[in-house]
Amino acid sequence: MSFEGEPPDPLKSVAEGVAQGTLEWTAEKIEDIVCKFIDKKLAFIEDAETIKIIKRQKQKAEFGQFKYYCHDKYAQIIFQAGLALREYEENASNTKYDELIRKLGHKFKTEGIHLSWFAKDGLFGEYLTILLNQGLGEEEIRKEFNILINNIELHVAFISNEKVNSKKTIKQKAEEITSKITSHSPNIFIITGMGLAKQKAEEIHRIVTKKICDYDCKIISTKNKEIFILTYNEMC
Amino acid sequence: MQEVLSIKSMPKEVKIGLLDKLGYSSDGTFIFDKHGKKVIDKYIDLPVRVDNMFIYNGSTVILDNNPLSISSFLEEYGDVI
Repeated sequence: MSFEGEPPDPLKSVAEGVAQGTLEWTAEKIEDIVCKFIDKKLAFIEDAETIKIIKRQKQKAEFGQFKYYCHDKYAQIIFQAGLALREYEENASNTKYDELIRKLGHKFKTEGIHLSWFAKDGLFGEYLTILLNQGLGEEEIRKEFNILINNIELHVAFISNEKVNSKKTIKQKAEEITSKITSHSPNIFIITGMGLAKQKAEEIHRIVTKKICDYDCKIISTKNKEIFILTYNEMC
Repeated sequence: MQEVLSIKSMPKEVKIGLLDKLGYSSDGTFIFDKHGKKVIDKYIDLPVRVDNMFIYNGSTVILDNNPLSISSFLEEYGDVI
C-alpha cells in the first residue's frame, strides 16, 4: 500500500508519534497490518484469548452432547458462554465474568443468565444422566431439554445471596419453589446455591422437601457450591 | 482462515487511526460508522467500545470482544478465524 501523493495519513502520523514510546507499533508495522486486513488475511481483536476460550468450549464433549440433544442455536451459544463463565470462575477472572453476565443479561434476560449458569455448574451432565437412567430415548431427551431451555425457571432455582437474605425471604423462596413443583410436576427440579448462598439453598431445600414427598434427592456438595437435584419418583 | 492479531497493547490513538483507515471514527470510547452512527454489536445489541473490539474483514464486521459475540460470530460465519 502506498500513501504517496495522498494527504498525510492520520494513522501513519499517529503511529510515528506513538512509536517513539511503543516500539512494537511502528508506522511500518501498522501499514503492514492494514494491508493484510484489506487483503482479508488478518482480523483484529482486543484479546485473542476470547477466541481461544470459545474454541476450547466447542471441543468439549459436554458441548458436543448438548448440541446433540438441543438444536436451538441460541441455546447452544448461551451454553458456550456458560462454559466460558466456568473458565472465568476457575481463573478468578471476576471482571470478565461480570462483564459476560451483564452482556448475557442484556441480550437474553434472566433466563439466558440462568441457562448459562446451568452450563457453567455442570448441571447439563447431571440432568442428562438422570434422563438416561430413566431409560428415555433420544427424542424424549430432546423434548425434555426443549422444555427445559424454554422454561428454565420452572426447573432450576439459582439461590441468590443478595435476594434471599433473611428468614422471611428464605421462606418465600421455598414457598415459590414448592408451588412451582406442585403445579408443574417437573421430572427434575434443581436447587442450587453458590458461595454465601450455599447454606440458604440448603435451608430452602429442607423446607421444600418437607412439603413435597414424591421426589428423590441427590446432593452435590463442593467447596463453593451446594446443588440439590430432586427427581420425581412415582414409587415414593 | 484469517489470522487474528491481538491489539491489546496497541495504543488507543493507533486503534482510532486504524478505524479511520477502515472508514470509521471514534470519540475515544465508542466507534462510529461513516454516517456518524454508533457501531452496535449485532449479537448483543450493545455499542462497541474502542478498547474492546473485534474487527473482521469479510464485509467489515465490528463486534465487542466477548465469548457471547465471538461464539455467535463463529456460528454465523463458520471457522473463519
